[in-house]
Amino acid sequence: MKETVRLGIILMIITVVSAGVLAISNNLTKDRIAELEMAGSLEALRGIFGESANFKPLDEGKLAEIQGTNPAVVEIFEAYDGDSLTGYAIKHTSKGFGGDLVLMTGFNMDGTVAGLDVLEHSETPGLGAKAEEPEFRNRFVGLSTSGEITVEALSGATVTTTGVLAGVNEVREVFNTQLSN
Amino acid sequence: MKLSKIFRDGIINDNPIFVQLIGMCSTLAVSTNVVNSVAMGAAVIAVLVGSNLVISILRNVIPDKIRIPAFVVVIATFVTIVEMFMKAYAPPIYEALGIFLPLIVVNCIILARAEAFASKNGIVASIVDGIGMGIGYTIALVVLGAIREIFGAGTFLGMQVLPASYQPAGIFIMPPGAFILLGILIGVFNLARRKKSSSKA
Amino acid sequence: MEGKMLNTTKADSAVPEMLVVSSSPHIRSNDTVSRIMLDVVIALVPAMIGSVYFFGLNALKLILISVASAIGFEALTQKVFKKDITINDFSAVITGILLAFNLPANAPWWIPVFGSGFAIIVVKQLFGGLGSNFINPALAARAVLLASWPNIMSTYVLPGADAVTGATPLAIMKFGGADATASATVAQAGSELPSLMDMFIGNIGGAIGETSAVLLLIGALYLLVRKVIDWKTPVFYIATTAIMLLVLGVPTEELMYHILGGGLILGAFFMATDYASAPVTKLGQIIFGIGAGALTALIRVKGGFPEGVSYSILLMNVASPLIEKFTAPKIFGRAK
Repeated sequence: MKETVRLGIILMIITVVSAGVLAISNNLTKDRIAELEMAGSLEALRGIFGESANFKPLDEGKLAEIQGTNPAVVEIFEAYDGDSLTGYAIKHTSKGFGGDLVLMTGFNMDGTVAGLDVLEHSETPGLGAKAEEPEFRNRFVGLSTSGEITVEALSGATVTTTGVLAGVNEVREVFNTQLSN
Repeated sequence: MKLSKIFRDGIINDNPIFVQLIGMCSTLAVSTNVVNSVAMGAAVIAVLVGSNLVISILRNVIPDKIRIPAFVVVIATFVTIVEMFMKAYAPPIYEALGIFLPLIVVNCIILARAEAFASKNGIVASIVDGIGMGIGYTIALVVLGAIREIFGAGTFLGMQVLPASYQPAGIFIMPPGAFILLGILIGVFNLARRKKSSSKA
Repeated sequence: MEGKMLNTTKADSAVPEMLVVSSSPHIRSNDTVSRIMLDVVIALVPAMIGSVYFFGLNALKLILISVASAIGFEALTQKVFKKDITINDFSAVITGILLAFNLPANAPWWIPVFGSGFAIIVVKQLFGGLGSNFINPALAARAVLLASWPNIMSTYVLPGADAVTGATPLAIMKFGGADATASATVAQAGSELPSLMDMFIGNIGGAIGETSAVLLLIGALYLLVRKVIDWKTPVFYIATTAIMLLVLGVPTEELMYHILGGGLILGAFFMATDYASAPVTKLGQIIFGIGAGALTALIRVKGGFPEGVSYSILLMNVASPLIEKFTAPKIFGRAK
């Protein structure tokens, strides 16, 4: 019994010291990490809406309501030019060939696609991975949101293209029915 | 044991990848290019030296019965520290290494050195062992990463080295290419080692 | 087909290779490695002529480069490893031809060179040379080429001198009515399936050596008559593929396209029968055929690729030692 307590105490001391060390290094790094994460999203948003735009996360209640019917939606940002709302950017997921795709799709208030960014993917290098290149992403820019969005497929990557299109069309519905008005 | 021998053992005679064949999972996964290989190697050296140092200091304090949980706590602490600092100061590399950075916790090399060396040897010897093993691991990773990057992407350290007309062989970047290359490298390394030792005798 | 053990018993003997050294009396046969390999080369000649007829000089160029580099790499590795040089046994020639048969006609010259290098050096010589390769070298090389340069390896040329790219019949069936989301190659070619007669003769898009069912069958018949290969693996392979396709809901009118299209005939007769990488026991060969057939149908219908013959055979190659172990004949006079 005494032995067990002794072992427990030694292990606890090691664990407490380790927790202390981790707390210190967390304090040293956490601000910078948060800053970088914000910058990452911002970079994708600026790529879609231009350098001068400002962004604000959508009201949380509304986001939760949208996510209730469209679980693929991760985050929604409002894009502003000065004080006027110019569009929405929706971060969402879809199924690709090699796994989940994380996409950022931007819509202008005038009913066109502002742009698309592929944030994360695990598609085949040389085929589906070409989805993250501007050459493919720019095929979406300016397309109307009033009907089903289609683009020319990536050569040899039908499944990836279909996955991106399915995702974009799902959030297009979200934009049309719940955001654009 | 002489320190220079401990150091050389880590790199050549007991090279973790080419001779002991431990820590292979992360080796195959992250060695897609030289930068990732160096970064992963640096992370492993940092964790290995840190954990070897602390475990060597505590080797007479930690009771035998709970040594494994104690080692794991020490190792996990160092891995988490490295992870936090990489995330804060080298985010592209942090993203490239992905899940394999936190998985250093379960990398056999670290626990194996703690159990086989640091818990039985002095502080200085343990640090030297950590550096030697870490460099041995890094060398294997960098060689693998360099070959994979040159043939799989036509670049070295991100710079184009093969002519632009070269169409990169994607297989080198993919897991099967890593397996095949590593097998060939292990063969070549051990052939060279054997030749050297037989010429000495 | 590459890698017959130097076996003094008959080719389809049920004796596993480790028992080749048996007690006397020995029956001498005229089967030697190079004779068997030469038979296979002869059997591939009709399809070779067909490939040049359908795809023009490009096909001839690919076959020559592939064979020459296969022989070159074989001699080179054997020299480096200080082994006897055995390039006159025709086995490298067969690897070269089979590899070229799996390429699209417009592949650049370095594709067969890289493929032959991988097949001969990595798959064959590093594992011990003739008879020791655990998977089919030509198919392994094709898998590596497909993984490395997917665009080159899946852009097929339609027959004819003008080398128009187009879809294979399997791709048309898989990706169907080329709407906007289908792959670009399908969209270019339209979605008309060729006539069954064209399928049989080989006047269709595909890899250069796999399209002509009739010429491949002529060669296969020669090998069957010469008893170089056994009927069991190919017949069970093709039959299982057909049955599985029907089970998976492929309409009966498309069935013949599945059997004649793609690499099924080439794979079943010339690759699944490889001595070194397929089982040697009778039951083992049947299991091999059934397994490869089921996998082929599954990949074609449910997988991401339109064609699955090469991956099926490679997977069954890997399973072969296990199949052999379970189907090895009982040995008398030995305690269990």
